[in-house]
Amino acid sequence: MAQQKIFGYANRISVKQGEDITFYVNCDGASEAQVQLVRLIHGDAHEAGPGFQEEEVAHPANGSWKVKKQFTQLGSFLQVADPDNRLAVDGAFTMFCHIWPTIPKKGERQTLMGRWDTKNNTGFALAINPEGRLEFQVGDGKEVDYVTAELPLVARMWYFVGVSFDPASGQATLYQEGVANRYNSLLGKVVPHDYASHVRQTFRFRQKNAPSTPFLIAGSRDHHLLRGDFVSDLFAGKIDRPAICDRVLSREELDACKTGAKPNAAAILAWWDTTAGYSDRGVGQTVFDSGPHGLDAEGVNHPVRAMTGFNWNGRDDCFRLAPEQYGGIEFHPDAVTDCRWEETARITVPQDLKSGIYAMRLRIGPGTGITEEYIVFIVRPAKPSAKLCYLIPTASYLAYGNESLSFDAHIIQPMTGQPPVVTELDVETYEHREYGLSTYDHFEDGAGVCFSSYLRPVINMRPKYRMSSMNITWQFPADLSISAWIRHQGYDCDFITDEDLDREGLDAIKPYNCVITGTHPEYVSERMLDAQEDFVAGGGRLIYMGGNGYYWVVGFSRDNPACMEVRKLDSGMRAWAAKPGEHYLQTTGEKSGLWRNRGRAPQKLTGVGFIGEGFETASPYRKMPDAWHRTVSWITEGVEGEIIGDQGLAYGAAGGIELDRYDLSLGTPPHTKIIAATGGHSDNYVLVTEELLYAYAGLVGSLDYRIRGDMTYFTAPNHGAVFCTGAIGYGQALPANGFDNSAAKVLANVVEAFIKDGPLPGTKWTLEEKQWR
Amino acid sequence: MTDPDIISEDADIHVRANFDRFTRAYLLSVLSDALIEEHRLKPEGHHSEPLTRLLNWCQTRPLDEQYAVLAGTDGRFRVVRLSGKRRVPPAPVGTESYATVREARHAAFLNHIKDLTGK
Repeated sequence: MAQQKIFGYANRISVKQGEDITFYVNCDGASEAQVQLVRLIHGDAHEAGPGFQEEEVAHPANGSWKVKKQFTQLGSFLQVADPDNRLAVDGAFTMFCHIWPTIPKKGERQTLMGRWDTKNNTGFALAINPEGRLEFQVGDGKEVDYVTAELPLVARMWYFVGVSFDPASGQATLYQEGVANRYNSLLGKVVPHDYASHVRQTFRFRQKNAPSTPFLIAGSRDHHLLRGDFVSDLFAGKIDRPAICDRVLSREELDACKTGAKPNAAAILAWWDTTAGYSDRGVGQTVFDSGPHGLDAEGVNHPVRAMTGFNWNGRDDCFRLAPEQYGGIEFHPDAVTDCRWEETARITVPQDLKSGIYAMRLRIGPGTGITEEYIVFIVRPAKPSAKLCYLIPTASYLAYGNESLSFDAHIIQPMTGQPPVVTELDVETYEHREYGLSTYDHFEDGAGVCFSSYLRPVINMRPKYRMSSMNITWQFPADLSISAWIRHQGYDCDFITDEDLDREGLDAIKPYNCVITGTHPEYVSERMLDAQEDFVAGGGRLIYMGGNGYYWVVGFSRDNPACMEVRKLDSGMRAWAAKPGEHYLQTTGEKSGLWRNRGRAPQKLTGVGFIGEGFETASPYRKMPDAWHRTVSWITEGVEGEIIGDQGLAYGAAGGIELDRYDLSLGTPPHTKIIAATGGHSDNYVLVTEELLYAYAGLVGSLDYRIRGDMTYFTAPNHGAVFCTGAIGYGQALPANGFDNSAAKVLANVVEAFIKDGPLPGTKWTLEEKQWR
Repeated sequence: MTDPDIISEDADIHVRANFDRFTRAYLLSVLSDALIEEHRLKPEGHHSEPLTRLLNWCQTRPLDEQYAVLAGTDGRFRVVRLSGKRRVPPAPVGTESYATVREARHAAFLNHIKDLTGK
């Protein structure tokens, strides 16, 4: 029997009562799965907490679902819509493009462009052969003819490459020239390489064009008995302005095209203008053909746009300044943003299902490990009714989706201080990698991953999962500790997601008195940030439950909220660095990187911002003098002594993992009170890089007082207020000791004050009394 | 010169090897049973300077010289060695299994010591 495993995803991450949600399941070794709708209560089996808890929910969809093996198309490429087969050229033609290959000597063929059927060896294609040389081939289903460049291509150098083929004479002529300038490529002109190759060969065979073969850019058609048609020979690197003409172009004509000029219009069959479609709001996934037939190409699995092209001059650093220099489209053979599986089942969320965090639980065989799947979704109320709203940080879940730092990241063990603890699930998904990567990973060519989507199984967005590198819960399963506490307290609470906030803005949270965040709301779009700022300024109360929040600028395309984009750059604790000139989001046109570097440090909204991170250990908080201030002493009421949060599921205390600090120089509201702070962390805790101007020895927990988590509070207009815990670990401290602990007590004081209408406690003191310290 | 293969070898590895040689020489000079015991008793948090430096060496070795802990479905923990190659899973190291993560992590540490001393 085949190894049993089951994985799935849903078409939505947030669904309202009464709406439909569709599930997609891939299963090996079973044809039926036992399915149960569950409400997720608590996600971690840690002995200090309540353990894993779920609640089965009656639903007509419960029972047995038919499941099957489904296949995932990995790799990004462009598919040309050519219904009339105008590109099934039987006569003479020329194809050309600018390329920036990243793994030319990959050991596998990489198709640049063409109409090629790999299974039947029919058609024509310009490609890079396994040894890294430019190659053109034609095939008639029986025989294949090739012409190959004399020199291998050099990685990360821009070239202009092309081929002319005349079936009448059989002459195939390859054209390869380097087009590196001072900025656009890895190497400068001091390197004595010869990049040019011009080879002519007479072919014995001609192309046979099967009607069903698509014209693809960065891949070619393949077929498998079980899987059907798919795309293989995927290219790694950039392609700029590919084109095909209906005759042989002369060497002089191609010399002109090398500079970016269009050939004579009469010759053009298609000329994909990769610089067209940009606006100050970004660019989409359609690549427009400016040729006579309008054969536009559509991106599959998000080829990356807003990337520098062959003619980037190093001066204009954004497509908004010079779109003509941003024709580069970057392709990755291991990218996937939509598995595109066949639908397995669709259910309607009952009108009376309480707002909360749910999952379809699927089990086959033993029903544990990789034979158990939880497809998670958030149920929103059809109409808001609670005073408290839990804002589920789904953008951050996407950012970390399927991260594999334990296996691939050299930095992870020095960062965490310990060997990772991996499971069968981690090994399985790492080995097969069919479900894509996180924005913490690199593609196989070393480029950082800037897109992440939930239209694929996300193995760490499920209960019971611990992040292997840290051996604690992280993001989704960690946030279940907060919802478990909300439930334990008996608070009436509505649940919404980042996606809802991004699409609806302030309207999504305006009905609530209090919004509480997850443990690590790190990835934030402008609309999400604006909504929360306006909410607080308008009298809303915000509880920021974590650390390293409101950090990265992200974008969602309007037509595909399932997919998030981020570019990591300049400063900040970052897994990769976007290349020069590639710092702007294609989905929105905004500069990405840290909100701090765009004038909106997290301190301005919350009072605190990222200052340090460490793993292995955590610390409790100690009350600071402000804790006893008459305007805020209600926050710590019932907590005897000075220590808060000395228990927890993440390294034994509330004050740990990633820490945020009060900093007036970054916009902390001047009247902010520091209620309590951690401190004296181990030297595994280090200062964040955005704080660094000059590095020097001693920027570690035991030597730098700045490395601490600050619990803060400030009031805002119209009875608004913000309370921050200042540490990721706080949320995971809530369930400790049966939810009876000082961290939970403080939070209860705050939530109970925040959900009440009218003035907050401590606001009736006179101005003079408020000044007292 | 026209052969791009000339850039396929990274000369930096020689410099790293030189740095590693004198780092190992220092670590061998301070390695002791007491140091190993210090790790066993307290693998996380503040350590003595020799142990801090030893752990830094362990944690920054090349990926294919790194160890991890595999949590088995039987509730036991085993030491595995990372492949350092994409999509190649870690390989088991020995047949021992451990009751706790802490014990397994110490066993991973002992494997680093074995690599350091060659014994």
